[in-house]
Amino acid sequence: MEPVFEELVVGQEVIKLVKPAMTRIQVIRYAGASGDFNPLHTDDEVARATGFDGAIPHGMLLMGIACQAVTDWIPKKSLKKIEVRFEGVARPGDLITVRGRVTDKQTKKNNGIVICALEVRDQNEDLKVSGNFEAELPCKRDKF
Amino acid sequence: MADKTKTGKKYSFTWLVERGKIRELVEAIGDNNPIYRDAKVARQQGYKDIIAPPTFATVPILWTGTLLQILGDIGTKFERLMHAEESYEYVKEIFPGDILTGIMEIKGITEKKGESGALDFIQLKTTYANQCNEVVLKEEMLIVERK
Repeated sequence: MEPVFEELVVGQEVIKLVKPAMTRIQVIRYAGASGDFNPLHTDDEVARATGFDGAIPHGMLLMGIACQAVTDWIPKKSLKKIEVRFEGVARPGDLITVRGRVTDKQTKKNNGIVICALEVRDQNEDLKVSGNFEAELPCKRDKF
Repeated sequence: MADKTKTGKKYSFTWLVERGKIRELVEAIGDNNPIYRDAKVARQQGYKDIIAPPTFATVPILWTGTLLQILGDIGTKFERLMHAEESYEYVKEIFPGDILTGIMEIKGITEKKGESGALDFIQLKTTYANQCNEVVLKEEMLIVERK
């Protein structure tokens, strides 16, 4: 069921997506799908030469996963804005969890605007991506 | 040092949105939402066809070579770059068959001193319109070059 504006509470956790372990194949597929062939994402030697422990998945793959979590919760058409900051690098094998909670609610005309904070963390609770998104949700009174 | 004189320069590109490219992207992400792959379900949910997922705009800027061209023009070293921030503002849905025109602008290049030396922050802003000249998406990207 689509979330209803009035039923959401500031502070409420509304998103929790636990992904299967990220794989090298997934990162390679993401490189091909997105067209980002920076070897930093797929080649351990290149990544080590620039100071990482090994190849690091694309930040945009993590953002894609964050957006998956968002559009699992609300319809895609309700998503108006999303902004993220890439806080830390992931590694193949990481177990990625996306969490989102409501941080603000506003009303605009007949719609409710919900602002949520997003966090993408790994199995050690290390922060990979932080951000916010804005969703426009129908208000209950429209239905009467 | 990235070439600050390129600030304000705009680059345009066009991209035909293909069903298969949408599918590839959501498969790589592992996003099984049927609105990105099953037109029947998408129609039931009020869309005229499957739609592009929220991060789809990464595909045209990379596959057209536009981002690499910009980063080359301002003299950055590819392997020193990190994606720092990304934002999207959604105006209209993007559907298969849409022909997108993107205008990507170098909004700013600023140097900051970080803990591990100087960093260049490159701010890029892109607006996408469809074949009906409707703006569908606005994007801002912040890229950091570690020096």
